[in-house]
Parts: sequence; structure tokens; C-alpha cells
Amino acid sequence: MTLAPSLREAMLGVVPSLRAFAMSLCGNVDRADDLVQETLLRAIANINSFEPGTNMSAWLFTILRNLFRSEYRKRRREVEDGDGRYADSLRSHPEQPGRVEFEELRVALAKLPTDQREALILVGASGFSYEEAAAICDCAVGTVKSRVNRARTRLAEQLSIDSADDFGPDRMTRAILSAGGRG
Amino acid sequence: MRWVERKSLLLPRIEPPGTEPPEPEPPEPERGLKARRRGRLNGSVLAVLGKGLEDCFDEIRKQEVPERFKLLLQQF
Repeated sequence: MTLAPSLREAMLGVVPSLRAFAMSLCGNVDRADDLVQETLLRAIANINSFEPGTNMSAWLFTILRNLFRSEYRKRRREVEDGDGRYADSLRSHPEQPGRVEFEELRVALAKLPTDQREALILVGASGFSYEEAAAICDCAVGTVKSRVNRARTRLAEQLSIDSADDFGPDRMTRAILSAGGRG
Repeated sequence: MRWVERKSLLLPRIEPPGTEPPEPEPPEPERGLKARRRGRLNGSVLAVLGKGLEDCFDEIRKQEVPERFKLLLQQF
């Protein structure tokens, strides 16, 4: 089987986003990369089912999501994180101020139910429309919207975000600058 | 039979001087309301969350594609 160069390049271009999505599902880089590799192999094996000109990214995301749900849930502990291990695995010692909030967001994301996290990441981080995300998740558009809204609400509550000033890498810097330290 | 209203046999309590019952405090705002104000979604909160999510994912997206994937695709 030979891939057309355009298809090869298109698939390679999606790999970074695929890795990020897989990472959000698996919580582990090695497992995420294994999942991406299986996704690419599955895509290559079924390349004839891909319609040229359609959304390659959405197609690969769909394959990855289905693989995760069908195989990884069986073989590995799904990261529902009942005991907090997944969330703990994301903690790191921040090297600089502002990183704390990154980690807080990661941990809060990990605590979301899988469906909500998946929907939020597809729409909020991966840039898919609600319709595309619904196709990837094989559910109604309204369901995706509901999951995204609930995920956002839970994140905002967990992170105690009430306004743009409550979160973000600039908060620390802004606080320092406003403390009167300017020369 | 006539129903006779039963009057309370309890006499009104006479407080000693200096121990007048405190005036009722003005109603406090609902605790639930204050708690619910945190984490409400609005435009700025959505923008912050969206930026945070993108930044989190950009950390991985900006990484160089591992060789294993380049080699894999080159095989076909």
C-alpha cells in the first residue's frame, strides 16, 4: 500500500494535534504516542474510506477517539481518575510563577468526566466546530454543546474563575507590577 | 358548644434592665448567591478558559513530531 504524498503530508500535519488530544485522553505521553501510532496505522489501512477534500483532521480524531474507547478502556485503566492518580501525574513543581495556574488547569481538566473533557478539548482546544465535534463523538450537536458548557462551568468553579483577572499567567506579574515596584 | 379561645397562660417575659433583646440584624445576602457568583460563565471567563486550554495544548502541539511517526508514514 502506498500513500499519496499529499495524504502523507496531511496526516503528518495532524500529528501534533493528535498527540495533544491523545495526551488529554491517556494522561501519559508514552501511552498517548502509542495511541497516535495505532491511529495512523488504522487510518492507513482504511485510507480508501477517506474522501479526499474532506476534513482529514476530523477523520483522524474520530479514529483516535474510537480506538481509545474500544481498546484502551478494555486494556488499561480509563482515566476517570477516581483515586486522583491521573490528576497527580500531571502535577509538577513549577519552575516559575504562572506555571502553577497551568498545572491547576491541567489537574482540573483531568477531573472532568471523560465525555465532558473530550468535548471541551475538541471544541475549546482543538478548534473543531460543534458540528465537527459531534461527528467525531458520534452524538448530537446539542449533546456536545451541553457537555462543553458543563465542562466549562465545572472548570470555572474548580479554578474559581470569576473574571479575566482571576486566572492566567499574567496575574502574578500584574500583581507584582501593581504593588508599586515601578521605578 | 362554644369554642372558647384559649388564652396563653404564659405571662410576657420581663427582661431585666440592660438585657434588651438585640435588634434584628439586617438580612444577609444569601450565602449560596455569593458562592454561586464564583465560577459563573461570562464572556471574560470563557475567554480565559479558552486561552488556558489553547496554551496547555500548544505545549504539546509545538513539540517537534517524534521520529517514530515520520518513519511510520514514510513506510507507506
